[in-house]
Amino acid sequence: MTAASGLAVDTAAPPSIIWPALLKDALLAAFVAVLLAVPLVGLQTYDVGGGALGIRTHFDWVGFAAIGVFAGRLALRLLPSPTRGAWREGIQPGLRLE
Amino acid sequence: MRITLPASGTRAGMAYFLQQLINGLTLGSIYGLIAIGYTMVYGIIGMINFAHGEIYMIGAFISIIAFLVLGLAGVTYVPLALAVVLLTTMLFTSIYGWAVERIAYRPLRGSFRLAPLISAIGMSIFLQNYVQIFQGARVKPMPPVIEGGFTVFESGGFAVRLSYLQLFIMLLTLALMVGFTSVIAMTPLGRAQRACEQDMRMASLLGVDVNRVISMTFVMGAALAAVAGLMVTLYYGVVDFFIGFLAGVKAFTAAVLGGIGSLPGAMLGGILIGLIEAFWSGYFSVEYKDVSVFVVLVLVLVFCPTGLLGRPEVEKV
Repeated sequence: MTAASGLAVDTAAPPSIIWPALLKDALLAAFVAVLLAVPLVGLQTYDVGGGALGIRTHFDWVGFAAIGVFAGRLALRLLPSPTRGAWREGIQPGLRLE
Repeated sequence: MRITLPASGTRAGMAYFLQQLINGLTLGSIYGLIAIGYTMVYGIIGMINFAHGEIYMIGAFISIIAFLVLGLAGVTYVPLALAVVLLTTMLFTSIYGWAVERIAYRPLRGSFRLAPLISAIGMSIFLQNYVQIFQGARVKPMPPVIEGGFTVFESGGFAVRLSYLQLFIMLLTLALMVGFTSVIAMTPLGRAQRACEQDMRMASLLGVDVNRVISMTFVMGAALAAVAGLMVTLYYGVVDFFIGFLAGVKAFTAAVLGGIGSLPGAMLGGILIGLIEAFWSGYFSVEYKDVSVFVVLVLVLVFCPTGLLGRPEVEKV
């Protein structure tokens, strides 16, 4: 549409979000978080006395980390930003962690 | 307390010298493996990855945890346990190396030169605190896994001992260096790495996936640091969240001494730093062994900034 002033006004609706790609990206990030967290967060060493070490598991914390990363990644992608336009239809969607 | 050393020139003095040589080569192998990570990253993207020492520390922690898990699982056959721990440590530490590059450095690529350096220091502090919070601040002891050794020779009442662990460390380092050199020289990944090292933009124009090459460089460096972490766990038997700092700075010194950007230089520098440290500890003072290493860093930077095998930086027009 051209306004009377001669300036072009874009009235097209904003492109829709590609949810499958977005979810896949967030899941991938969460999976990496799990891999990172399992050895150092999920398995914790503690002193059992006599110079020996024991190990206790905290896989619930690993789960929290994964959920946090998943939600954070999703939120980051959904926030409006010029560089994240690629996640909207028609602007070269990608599946990589970018 | 004053320790009387065997007089130099005597047979006992020679034996003492040989013992320090063995100790220095063992230590140097560990520093060399860490130094390769510094030099590879510098060679390709021209930045010093100050978080690399922490990657090595994470490798040491993962190796201790892997040993504990295997112990709980009832795996007591040492060669099998070592192989499993080695592979597990390399795998998980590599993921850390990849993640550090992906989170802290890639978004800053193309930014001003200081930005990734500051990010690296921040990542280093973050990783230290991350391990401190989740694994605790106390020193983690590790019982000896490889025991025993043999006497190389005995002279003047002084026996030169080579432990099986020292032999394992030196042989593993040698095997890794051969494998690593083959990867760089003969594989498509190595060719892409050399292309990126020469001219990243041109490599990109010729179809090399530069991001992937850089990621793989971090992964390879982290894997070698993981092996160094495992070795230091076995050799010293203690690990804490702060070991990465000093070892990282010493390995950086080794990379500078060998000529930063040069892979054989990193290994040579590592071995020289290990020897300097061992001989200084053996003949002068254990308290000042770190000072001796950093004096070398200062001297190299002042008198031979390109290092022993480094090439002078040519400003491209």
